[in-house]
Amino acid sequence: MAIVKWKNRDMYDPWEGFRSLQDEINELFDIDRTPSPSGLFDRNLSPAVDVVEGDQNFIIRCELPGLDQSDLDLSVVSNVLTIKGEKKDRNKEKQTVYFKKECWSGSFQRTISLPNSADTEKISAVLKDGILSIELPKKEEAKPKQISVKIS
Amino acid sequence: MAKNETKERRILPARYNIFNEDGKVFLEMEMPGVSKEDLEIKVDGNHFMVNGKKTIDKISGKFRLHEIIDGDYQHIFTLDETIDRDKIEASVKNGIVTVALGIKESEKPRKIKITAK
Repeated sequence: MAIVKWKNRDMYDPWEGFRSLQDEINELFDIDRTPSPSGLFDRNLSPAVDVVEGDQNFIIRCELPGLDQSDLDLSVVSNVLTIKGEKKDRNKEKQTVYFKKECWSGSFQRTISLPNSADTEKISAVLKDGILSIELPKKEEAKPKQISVKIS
Repeated sequence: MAKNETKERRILPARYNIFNEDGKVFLEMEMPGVSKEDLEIKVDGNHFMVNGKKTIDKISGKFRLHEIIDGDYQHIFTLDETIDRDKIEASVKNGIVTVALGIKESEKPRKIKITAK
């Protein structure tokens, strides 16, 4: 056939919502699929954070791809660290046609409670290639010390 | 005899956006921890492959919170004939890889003129 009616997806389809839910559940059972990073079974609107406690310091890492220093706000209030910011969507003003949109955008906030052994006065942070690395040394009294044993 | 242990790095699918703009198809991929040197982009026939090595400093200590998955990013896409293979440009900034793929001129939408008789 030279001409076939084009399926117009802009027309109202009352089953749309159910169809996407069914597709997502069907995808769970597809063995050859790598798990999709977005959808029903996903953390929404917040960046991934790692907190590591070493002997001498604490290191906190946050994945923030696409953010510049100016989009980010880091603050510490009595041992609670708050990472706040806005992940901008570069096409917000335009009517862009997306074929697939997995990346989330918008404002976010993560709060991390740090133990008293963290010295919040000496905090330092570096943003590189979309990863924010925050380092806090441990207070002197909290660092592990070797106690020498004298044999008498 | 020492046991040979080769731990393979996990391969993760990077989150991506695909959209149309200015007659080009844009592909944005989130690859935090990947800089220009760690990125490899290849076109092989109809396959378009993006590989990114995640370089983060290894830290020793106990994880109090562990949400970041350690692994390298990889994504393979198939391109069709509408993409002009010579018009592919890629850039990296702040862990986001942006690839602009040009559409062949012949495939761009054209208005058909109606002549009245």
